Amino acid sequence: MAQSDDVVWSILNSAFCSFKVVTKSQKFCRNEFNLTGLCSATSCPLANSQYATVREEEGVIYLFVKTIERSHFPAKTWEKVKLSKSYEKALQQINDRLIHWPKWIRHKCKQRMTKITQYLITTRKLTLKRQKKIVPIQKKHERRELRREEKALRAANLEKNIEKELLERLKQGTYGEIYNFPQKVFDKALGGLEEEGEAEEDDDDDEEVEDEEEMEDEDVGKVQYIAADQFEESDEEIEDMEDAWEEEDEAEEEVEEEPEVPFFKRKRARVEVEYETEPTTSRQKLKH
Amino acid sequence: MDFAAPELEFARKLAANDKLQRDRAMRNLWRWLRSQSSKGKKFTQKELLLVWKGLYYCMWMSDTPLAQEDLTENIVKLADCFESQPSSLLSFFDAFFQTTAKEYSRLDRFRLDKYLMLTRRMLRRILRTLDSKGWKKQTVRKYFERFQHHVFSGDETKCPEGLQNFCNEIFLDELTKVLSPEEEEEQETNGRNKVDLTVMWIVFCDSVLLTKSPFLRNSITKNLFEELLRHEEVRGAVDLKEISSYAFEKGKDENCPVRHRKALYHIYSLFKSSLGRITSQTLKSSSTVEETNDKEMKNVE
Repeated sequence: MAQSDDVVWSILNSAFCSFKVVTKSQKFCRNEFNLTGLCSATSCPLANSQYATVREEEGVIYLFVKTIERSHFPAKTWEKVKLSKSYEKALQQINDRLIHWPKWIRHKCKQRMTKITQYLITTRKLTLKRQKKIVPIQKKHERRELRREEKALRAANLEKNIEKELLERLKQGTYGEIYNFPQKVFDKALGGLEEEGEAEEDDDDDEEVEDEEEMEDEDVGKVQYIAADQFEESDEEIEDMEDAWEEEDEAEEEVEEEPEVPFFKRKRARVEVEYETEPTTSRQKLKH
Repeated sequence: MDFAAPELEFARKLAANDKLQRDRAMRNLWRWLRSQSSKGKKFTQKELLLVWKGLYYCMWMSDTPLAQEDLTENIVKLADCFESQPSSLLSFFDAFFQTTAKEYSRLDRFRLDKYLMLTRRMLRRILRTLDSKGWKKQTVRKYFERFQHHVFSGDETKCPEGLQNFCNEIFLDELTKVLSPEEEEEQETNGRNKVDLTVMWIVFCDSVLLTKSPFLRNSITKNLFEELLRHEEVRGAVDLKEISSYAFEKGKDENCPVRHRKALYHIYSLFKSSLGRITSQTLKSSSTVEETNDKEMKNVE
């Protein structure tokens, strides 16, 4: 009602309004439906029963219209009209919707619509532009890693040197006949000594491998359905085979540990990938 | 008052919050009025006032310009229901002006437009009704004497000045709209009676005499009499001489207050000069009468 508008404004203006922000030069309004952002009788959304504003929600611009006929429905007070993405059409929409309305409101709505359109365009441009990703440099962490590496290297060298020295002594027989060596290291050392004997066995192994490869060639193109258990067995076979190769390598390289580990691991890893795919597929089948 | 009266029930439903309910009530009201009047029921002023109260608040609740226009059209169409009941029809129009006059002061500026639109359409409907009845002198007099109790009374206690002024302002426009298509028809048929609207202006002369408000007196003389001379279609249907002489007779009366006499004499001199311009040659015989009138006018002043 026109009369209650005056009453509401007199209270908000002279007494208290929670949306009012008073600065030295001007009074501002924090209400999100305010058309201008200023605190004045004409642009107060609470003290005007006929009011319109333009707002943006998630990149879409809406026209909000409030009329006196809906003032007794707090839930339906604001009529929300989606404005077209095209600027000219949206202007036309505002004109049509606010026909016979005060010129001031129509003009301010259009101004506000223009501003919102501009900032939406800027936002889109900024998001589309390639952005630099900032990654923090962890200096402390890096330094620590470096130090550890050095330490480990040094330790490894020491161990190797000691091992070499001890082997030397063993060969020379410095400690006599009885030793309480750990069994593993003893076996390793023995393996180094039996180098020549095993070289003969190598040929047989190679033949076996070739046979197996031939068998595999024959299987190409055939479709086989293998149960998970069967596959596991065959996998074990391969593992056994690899163990055999491993031993050979060890013999060749004379107790040098380092290169053998990656070789072993790579082989094993390739096989394991195949092994792991099987249960997942069977699970999928079950699902279907 | 009978609280179970169907009019009251309609009034309640028409003023509902929900638009759907209001529309439904409007449709039902139309059906009910039509069936009742076809049965031969004569509606009393009291019943129609109740109906109009409902219609008024139906308008009050209606939102958006398009819906308001639709509703206005529907309200105006309700008059069709009384086609067979002339007295009910007049009461229906009368009840509209009474209701609007009563509620007008409580109207706010945001709702003013739609009610003015309704008033304009209703006035047009009234003039159309008179037009369809061939502008019979008796009917026109009956209608306008009824309206003289409020909208054309010139009395601000009976009807707010704003509403009266608005009706005065739009009256000639609407009358022209109603008359102009008929004139073409008249030219085609050539056999129709000439429309005589003099009675209306006789009634308006009385309004000038009755009014106490200078604003309304000014409004009537300006919008109804001065404008009349500018509307060619309507002027042709009015006997200017009769009106001017009537105004003069009324102003001549001893009991007539000075301001009213001034207004009436103003009308008289205006019409006379206009008459002189139109028919300077053809109306020579009547000039003698006017001269005597002039002399008398000077004497009275």
